[in-house]
Amino acid sequence: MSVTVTPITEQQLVAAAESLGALKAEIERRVFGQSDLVLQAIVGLLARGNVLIEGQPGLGKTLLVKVLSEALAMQFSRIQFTPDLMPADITGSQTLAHDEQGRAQLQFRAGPIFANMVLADEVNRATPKTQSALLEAMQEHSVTVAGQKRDLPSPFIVAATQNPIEMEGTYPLPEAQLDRFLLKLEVQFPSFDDLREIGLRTTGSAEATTNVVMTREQLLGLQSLTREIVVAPHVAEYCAQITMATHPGSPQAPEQVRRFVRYGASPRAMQALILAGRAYALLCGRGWVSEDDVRAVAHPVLRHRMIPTFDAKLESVTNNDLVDVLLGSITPVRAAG
Amino acid sequence: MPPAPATSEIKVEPQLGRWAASSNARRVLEETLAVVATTAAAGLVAIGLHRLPTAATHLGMQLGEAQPSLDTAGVVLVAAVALGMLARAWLRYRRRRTSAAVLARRLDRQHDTCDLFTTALAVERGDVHGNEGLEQVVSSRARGQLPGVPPPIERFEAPARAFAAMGAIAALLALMPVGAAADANGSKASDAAEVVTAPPLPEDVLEALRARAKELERLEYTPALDDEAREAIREARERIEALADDPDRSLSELARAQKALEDLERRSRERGLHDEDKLRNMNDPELAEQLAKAMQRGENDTAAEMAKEFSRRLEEASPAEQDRIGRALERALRRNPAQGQQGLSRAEAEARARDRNRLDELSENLSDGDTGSARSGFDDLSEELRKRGGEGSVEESLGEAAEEIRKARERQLDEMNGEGEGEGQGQGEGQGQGEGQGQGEGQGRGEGQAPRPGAGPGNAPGEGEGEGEGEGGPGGDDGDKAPTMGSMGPPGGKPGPGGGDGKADTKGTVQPSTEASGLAPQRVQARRTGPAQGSVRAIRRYSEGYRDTREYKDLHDEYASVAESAVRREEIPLTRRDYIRSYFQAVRGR
Repeated sequence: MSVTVTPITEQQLVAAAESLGALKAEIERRVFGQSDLVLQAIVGLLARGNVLIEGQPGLGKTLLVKVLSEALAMQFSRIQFTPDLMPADITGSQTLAHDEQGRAQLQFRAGPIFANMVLADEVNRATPKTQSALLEAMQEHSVTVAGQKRDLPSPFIVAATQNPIEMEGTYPLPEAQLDRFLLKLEVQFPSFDDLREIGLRTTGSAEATTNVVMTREQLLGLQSLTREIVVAPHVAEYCAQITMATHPGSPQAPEQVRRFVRYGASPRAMQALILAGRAYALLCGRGWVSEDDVRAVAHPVLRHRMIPTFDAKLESVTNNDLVDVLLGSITPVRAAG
Repeated sequence: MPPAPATSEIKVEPQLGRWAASSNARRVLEETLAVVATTAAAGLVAIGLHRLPTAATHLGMQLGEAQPSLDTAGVVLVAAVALGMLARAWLRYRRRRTSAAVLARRLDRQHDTCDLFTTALAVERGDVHGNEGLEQVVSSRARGQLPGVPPPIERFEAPARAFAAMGAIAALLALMPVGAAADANGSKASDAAEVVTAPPLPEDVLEALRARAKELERLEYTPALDDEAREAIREARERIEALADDPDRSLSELARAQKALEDLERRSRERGLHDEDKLRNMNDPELAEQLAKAMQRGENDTAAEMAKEFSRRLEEASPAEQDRIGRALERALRRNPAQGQQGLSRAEAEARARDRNRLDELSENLSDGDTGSARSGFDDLSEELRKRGGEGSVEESLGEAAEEIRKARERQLDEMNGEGEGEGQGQGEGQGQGEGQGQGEGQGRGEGQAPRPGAGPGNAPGEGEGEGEGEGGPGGDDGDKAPTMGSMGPPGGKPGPGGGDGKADTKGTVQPSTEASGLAPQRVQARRTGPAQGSVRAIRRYSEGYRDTREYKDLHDEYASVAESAVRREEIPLTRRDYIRSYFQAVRGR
């Protein structure tokens, strides 16, 4: 399948949706009971965004990223973040090497960051210095080693994971760093049936393999197509309304937001809402974004972008609750006319 | 994913625009109906307020004095409700009016199309700037689905509450008593008055009037008559001539013609009816010709004006012009020789002959160049003609015509008053005990202003409560107890009951109020042929305990309608009409 961006036809849109459906199905074949998680991961993939995956150990966070990379035949690397991990361990470093004549010279040895899909496992266990090195690569899609800038391969996606229950000896990501993740995915504990299925499928002698359903070029085409999805003015207004309402000082902010949110989402959040909405619409086989698409991606986009107050922690009000409040309180602006 | 439906030729924006326009038209109609219904309900309330005194009267309460306030309140109510409803309708319409964008969103919600129509509308409006291919995909999908969706036009909702309120108020209004008692002063009596017709004029009267019409036609062609006077004469003549076509209007037509002629006569007496400019515009031969003719016909006031004009011309005339005037006069006298004196009084015949001789002398004076004598001669002639007037003068002709009409009206009123009732109706000043025959009755203040005492045999004491020294109202000639009842006295008079039993062949004399009618004093002869059995007597006797077989209110209405007719047909000043109406209001049935 080849997807060209201009001009886009109905048939191409249909083909893209079918292709993405196949990708989702292939991933779900390996990752049981996490349909929403898979969907959101593909959204992040299409939007060229980095994702932060949070969940208890053993829920399949690493598996999800690994299967995703296998299905796309992308270069995959995994970095296990530990407190003693250094930035050079991620980006790579220059080492002294000898050539055939025995002459010594400095040679760059690329770190694990040089891959299409990087899994930053337990990213909150590394020191802020090391975290910053990763986040710079996420933002710039390049690293600078020994004064030389080196581009990362395309596509480049970082999927970081963190464990929310073991906070001892961790370095939680600062808010400014969190904002750079397009989505924050939460891995839910599987249902009883899914848990039983997981037990049956993963404990046999047969080793599960992942089929490649999409090439790297196809993925790049779909990422370009995502950016072309039509966004009508009323959808953009809706996204702006939501973003504004996350700020406790805004007139549109609901009462609970004013009470439980210390800082609201940045303009980058609104960009993320529209971008993720576009990807979600493409996944649904539509060439335009609806307000429903925005609502569907609002939780993973906003949940890590609002800084709660102490009252929220005291009363166990989560950011997911606040997003629910936001979506319930905002009436879409009537399109002018 | 479902395949895209076939693309329709119908574009999203025009279609949604049509639906929006249709929806808005329904909203406008709804709001308009609400305004109309509510304002109509307020109007019905206002009518109810207007009728409230009537209803109160039926319940034994008196609210007559509150009528103006209630009417004002009604008008204010209707105006306030109308303005308020208009403002409300405008605000509601602004809130409820829809647009293509709103309808698109409604369609998306109703059909779960994920904002397809809203986005397509934005694409067609050019509000989206992206991939043209994708925009085409969106537009095509929307156009493909549009024919399958029902129009999102809101249903028409009639303002049921407003109509219900209007109906309820109308029902209440229908239950309000609107008896004839209160209407005696209102519409019912007025309506009844419209059907009262005047008796036809006798043929001899008509003949006399026709002769006067011809005379007036002659006056219309009087030389140098000013246009206003000529138009007034023409109008009066046409009113007289119209009697043959519409006898029912004879009373009013005659009254107006009489009034017009009397006004003209007064004006002629005060400042003349001739137009100096027209006289000055005549050349000498023409002026001389018209002067000779006017003197020949006895139109002395016209001739006086012309003689005066000659005097003015001689003041600045050159000898040649004087000679020309002299010759013009000579020729005019020659062309209009003296005519027979049949039908003229001896004095008039002699006066005309004398005037002609003087004009002849003036002509000779001018031929001789004696301008001074001629000028003074013209002045003297003018003065004498003016003083003498004459049977053919405009002023006298107008007076005679007015008098003829007045007589005709008297005859007609006579007929009306004498029909069956045997009672005179009018307004008499002062009355009390007639010395002589009959009994002049009426109401009003008699302060020694009785136009004339009654005369003739009679022995019944009059009944009246005149204040002052009223003595002897108009009475019948031959009757014993001819009851003549003046319905109204002049302002300030105190109503006095009057009445009496008439006998056969009694004649009551009624003196209509000059002040009230605006016309010359006149007397109306009311012939009676038997005991009076009319409305007025019944009213009076009813107040004394007498019970007629007819309903009092019927009698009252009947009589009130006659009075109302008179009020309308006669040119009674508006300020005086209320006195007459007040009287009938005072004696209306309870």
